[in-house]
Amino acid sequence: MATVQIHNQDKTPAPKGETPVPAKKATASSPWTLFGKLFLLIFSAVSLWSLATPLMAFPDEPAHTIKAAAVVRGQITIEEGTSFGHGVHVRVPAYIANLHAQDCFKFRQDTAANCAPAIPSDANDEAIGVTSAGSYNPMYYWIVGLPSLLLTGQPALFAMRILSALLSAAFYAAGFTALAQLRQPRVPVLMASLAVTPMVLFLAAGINPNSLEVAATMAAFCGFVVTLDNAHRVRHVLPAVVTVIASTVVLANTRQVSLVWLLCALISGVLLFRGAEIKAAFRNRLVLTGAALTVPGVLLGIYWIYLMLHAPANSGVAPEGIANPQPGVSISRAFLTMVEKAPEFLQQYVGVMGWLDTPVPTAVVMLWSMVFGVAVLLPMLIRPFKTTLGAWAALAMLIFVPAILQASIWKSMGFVWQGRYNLPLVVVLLIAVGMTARRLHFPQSAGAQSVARVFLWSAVFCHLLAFAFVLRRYVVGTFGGGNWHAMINGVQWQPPLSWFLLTLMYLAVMVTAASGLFRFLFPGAVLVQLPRARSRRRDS
Amino acid sequence: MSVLATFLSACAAQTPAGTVEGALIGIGTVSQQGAVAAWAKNWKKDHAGVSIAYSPDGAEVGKTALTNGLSYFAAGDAALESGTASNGQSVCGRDGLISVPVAVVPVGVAFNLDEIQNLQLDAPLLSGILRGKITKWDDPQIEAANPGVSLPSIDVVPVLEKSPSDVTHAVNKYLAAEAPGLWPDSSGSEWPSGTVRAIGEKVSDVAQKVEETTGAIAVLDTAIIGSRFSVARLKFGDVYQDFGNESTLAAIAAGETVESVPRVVEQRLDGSKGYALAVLENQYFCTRYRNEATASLVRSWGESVLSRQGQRDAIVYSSSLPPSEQTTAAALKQVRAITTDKG
Repeated sequence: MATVQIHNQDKTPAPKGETPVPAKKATASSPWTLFGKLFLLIFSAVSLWSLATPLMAFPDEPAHTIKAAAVVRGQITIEEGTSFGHGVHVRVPAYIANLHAQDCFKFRQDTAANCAPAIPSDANDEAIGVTSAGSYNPMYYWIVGLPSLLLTGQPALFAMRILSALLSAAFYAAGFTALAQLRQPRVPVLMASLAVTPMVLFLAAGINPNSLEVAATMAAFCGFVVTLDNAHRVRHVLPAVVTVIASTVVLANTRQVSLVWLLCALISGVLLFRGAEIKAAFRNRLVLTGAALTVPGVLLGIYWIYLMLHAPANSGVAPEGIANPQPGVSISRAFLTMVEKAPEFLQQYVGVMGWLDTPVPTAVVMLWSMVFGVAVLLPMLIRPFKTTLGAWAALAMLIFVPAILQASIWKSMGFVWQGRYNLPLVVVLLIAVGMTARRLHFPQSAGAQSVARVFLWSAVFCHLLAFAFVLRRYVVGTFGGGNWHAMINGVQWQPPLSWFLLTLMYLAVMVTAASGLFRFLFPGAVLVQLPRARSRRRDS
Repeated sequence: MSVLATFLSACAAQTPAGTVEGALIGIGTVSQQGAVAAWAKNWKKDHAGVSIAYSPDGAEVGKTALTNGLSYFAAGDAALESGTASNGQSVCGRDGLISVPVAVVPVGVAFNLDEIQNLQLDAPLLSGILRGKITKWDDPQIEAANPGVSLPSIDVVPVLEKSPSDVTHAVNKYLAAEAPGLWPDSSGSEWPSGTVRAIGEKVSDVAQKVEETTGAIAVLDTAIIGSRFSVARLKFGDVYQDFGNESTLAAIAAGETVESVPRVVEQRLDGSKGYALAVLENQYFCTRYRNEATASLVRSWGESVLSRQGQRDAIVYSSSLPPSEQTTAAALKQVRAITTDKG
């Protein structure tokens, strides 16, 4: 049986009749301009999700919103006697303390969002709020909580979401901008774009540090590999170095586990390059200065971990019905169970929105299943093997690191792991696969363009389908399925600007993104070929 | 910023006026967790704009949180004593706390003797079993209490829960009252020293062990017992009483409503009229809250808990029985007096 092997070479000869277009041409604009464009595009997509999703419909959004309002009011650490079995008690405006009242549609896919009570703008008396995020790092919450000092009611909550979306969009944009500075950026950028699943965009739109964690890990990884890729000319990729510094500091202070994702990203990144490049990078004064700049931020993150390890204990015992301890389960069994479940998380990487109550349609999952299939298989075909180590390491870490983390808390907390926690590693895996394949010749033929067109239009369709499907779930409920007609004649809940306008805007953003990506992959070509343009081309 | 506020305000619906809304925070016993969930369901039906967070960290933690301004109500298995009721004046106003009974949860002595389903025990016998002094089911003392029942010559296996619980508290009180001198005068929620070693980590472990072990005996609340176990008749004074809702309702109806401490209402059970071993669930509130929104929220909760529908839900969903009508009326009077003016 013949074995298909694709050889990774630094200088792949261009096939006859095809002139490889340097990626530089596709990214002719300055990094800042590119960043600005990408930021606008990503922020538009994410903020449309922010508007399309009912308030408090993101996983654990009430707990994170309450924490944000508390942190920005100076309640940063856990004070003695304020921690109880169900969470930490804080003092926040009454309308924020009562956000758990919005839970009537939680876990109920058939229930439209109009069941939720209105959020008052005049309930600003200080009240007790309960947050299960009491021990999380305060940085993200302090920033996201700021609008609650200036606004009240729903406007404040939307503004908090939008601010969170801004943060995530900035890091995604920085990551893509950095990636575009690779010497061979096409495949990595393509894979990074595919890593932005509907779930990644959805998550970025809510109040939850998980969003920033995914975005900052992506940015850190992209900046890091670009720095290594340009180890002998680091000065030319300064934005990438800055991206690594900012992402590292942010990750160290986003969630306690974020440092683990950062470490995984760095390991995978290092394994993608040769020793000489790594040595050169770490001998570079700019890189060393950047690394030094991250130290205070990282130390701050570590100090927070230390503080929380010594935080006042719960006033009561961890009660039944809140935690679900399983003291009888051995750690090895818990670990193996998680490893066995690893493929089952795939659907959650693609899209299980809401409170894990709104899985996206199967068609959407199928498209990304294909992408993940390629991600796993492609490194097997690439030679030499050592150039694929980073991708294999990323895959191994995606399977084993969450398993280790979950197994370590299984006895005390039971099975709590969700697929969205793995998204930082998922993004790293897909980009790492793109990196292993970066030196492959990227065909520019008409046939390749047609294949890419079909695939990108499919991706646009799947993104749009996921968006509209989630909207339907909240606008009319998805009871029984097949009730799209009710979106016209049976609307029960409307998001700001109406579901129809939001969907049109989302389509426009997705088409713009796909067109941009297509132009990047095939400089000079366009995704949308108008009939007149096509016939003109034929005539010429 | 004002433009942003105007834009975002356009998304916001108007709040209906005059409705109770807000987050009610409570801390208390594990045994009230089910009832609180049942009451919350009924309460939220009437007031869509409310939410409740209840942490079952124990009665003492709840009382401390209430008097420190870290919760709006607490739940426990005993009426407040006069010293405690006057606590928390800085947070709850000069009159301190109020304490009202909200439910009664029967506690049964479940056993597994295969085909034997009827058994009578009194407090000295139960005390002897739990202290490991009566070790065989055909012990002459048990046989004397159960004439005509052919008891097997097998070991008595007491199965006790390790962690502190309201059920343990209720049994401690029953044995201290009915078997004075034989049981340490314990009013705690843990088994006193001298009791056989507890083996069940959780109440579900206890129930499973009883189910699996012939000769096992345990004290469990009515929600756990259901129709799963045989339950002993218990002696109160000179009378054996059947375990069951009807019997406990009779003890409640005949029991006194005690208001010896200001703002503390207590439900007593009359063992001569019915089965009187039960957890007496109480809730504690401040007499005064910081603002009217909170005061009306707490009042509304208390009224809903003590309403007919609330009590019906508690029976259905958590096997809790209502206090007597007289006690409920006295409790409602206290709840309706909750106000906002700090004294």
